[in-house]
Amino acid sequence: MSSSCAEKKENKRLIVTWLALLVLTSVSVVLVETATAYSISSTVISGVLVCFVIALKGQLVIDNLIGLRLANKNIRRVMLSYFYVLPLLIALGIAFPDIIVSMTTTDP
Amino acid sequence: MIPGDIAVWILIFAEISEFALFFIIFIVAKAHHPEVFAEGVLQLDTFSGISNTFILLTSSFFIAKGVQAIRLGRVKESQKWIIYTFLCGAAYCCVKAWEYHVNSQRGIGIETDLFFTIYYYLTFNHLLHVMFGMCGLLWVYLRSRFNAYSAEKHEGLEAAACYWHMVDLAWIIIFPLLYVLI
Repeated sequence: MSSSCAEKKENKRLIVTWLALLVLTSVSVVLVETATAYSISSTVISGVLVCFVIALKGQLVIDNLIGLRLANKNIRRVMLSYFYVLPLLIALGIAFPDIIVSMTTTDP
Repeated sequence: MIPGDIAVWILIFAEISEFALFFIIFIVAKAHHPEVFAEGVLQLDTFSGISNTFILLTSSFFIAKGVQAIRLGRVKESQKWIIYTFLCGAAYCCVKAWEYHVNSQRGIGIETDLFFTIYYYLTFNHLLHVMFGMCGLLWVYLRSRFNAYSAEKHEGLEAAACYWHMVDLAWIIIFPLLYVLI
């Protein structure tokens, strides 16, 4: 592959990633705004979906903007696991707040 | 191959661990006081949050273009992207200052309730990281002006770029946590 072809491909990847990040941000806001108008259960579902969007956005930045997809595997694993574990914890906090309360309350 | 150098990644891991700790505190506090947190989210200016998200995502794109340019040996083009990234950082600071000003006019402060205590801690802490990242960008721009970077040698610029991406990554979690999720 010629260097100008590789450069065009890289440019395209960066622009698509940037646009995808903007679209995902807008989608997550619309999702919650719409769900809030309905019921508590839809708020929980939209909250979990927003957490999925967080993980997706994190992966896009890590792989395509930082460029860890083609770089150090160990650093990529740590960064990706951060963006899988934290949104999962946030989702659990939204879906099961009572469990978190019982786990973090000491009995009198 | 490590983008930047190992030292900047140790710093990044330390910084994201600190943010992770506060995200966990937020989740636990929210589970204990759901009404306070739901009320708090509704009082915030969502538009400021969305604007800053778009600004930081765009700045991450700009700095990635800057790194791409220096890898191809285009020093002047790389400097242009660094300046654009720096301006995005400045825009972020202005929006944040405006948001704090609006909050104070509404009578919202750090001691309003638990939500706003965590909100101010998280967002001000993040703002300091943005400013620190901007100092890094200014430093690599000046070094670049003195021909410190080339297609073969640009670890310093990559390190500053990685730190800037970390600032963006932290905001990717802060934004929905504070402004979106009720």
